Amino acid sequence: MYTPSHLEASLLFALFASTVMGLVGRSNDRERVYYGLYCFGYFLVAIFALAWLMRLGHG
Amino acid sequence: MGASRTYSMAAKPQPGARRVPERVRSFKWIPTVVLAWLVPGAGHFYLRRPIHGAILLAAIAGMFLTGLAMNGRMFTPMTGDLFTTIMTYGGYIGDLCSGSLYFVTIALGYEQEILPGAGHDYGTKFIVCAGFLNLLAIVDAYERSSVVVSPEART
Repeated sequence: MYTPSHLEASLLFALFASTVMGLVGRSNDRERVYYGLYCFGYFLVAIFALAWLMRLGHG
Repeated sequence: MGASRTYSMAAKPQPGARRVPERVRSFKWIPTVVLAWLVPGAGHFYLRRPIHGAILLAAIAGMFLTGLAMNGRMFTPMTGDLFTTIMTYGGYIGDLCSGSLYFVTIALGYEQEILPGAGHDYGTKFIVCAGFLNLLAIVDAYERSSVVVSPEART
């Protein structure tokens, strides 16, 4: 069984999801790449922001 | 293939004006959507976009298989309180959206009981989200196939 850490699982999820979202979200290849990277970046920001929020919330 | 109706976007093109593509409704979307549902990325292969199809297949199948590797669970629809009903039916619909990935996995006898720990739970979410990502790919394939630019307008 594959047991990734929370961070690894979140990053894998972000990678797969942003790949698909980038591909279907825009109409030309350059915009697809930028949009995929943009989505991945926002996933990263959300992951770290929520992780810190939970850490600070738990004390 | 089956062009049924022509939509003229501009009545009379002005000299020097940019040509507005003429749109033709096509019924190519039916096999495209069925293929896209059955095999992730196959709709794009059918629309002669093999690179897009290959990337979609890799991402969606990768997510699904990662979920299986984490011993994720397939949802079974259950009724009960509202939360259980929404969760299990929503999850089941997500699983079904994976098409053949789901059917082959079930046919091969994959079954996973509810286990403690975050890893299994992540796996379950990966499997469901693979289905919903395939739904996005199906919608994209549908949009690309249902309305095509007429050959006259391409010139």
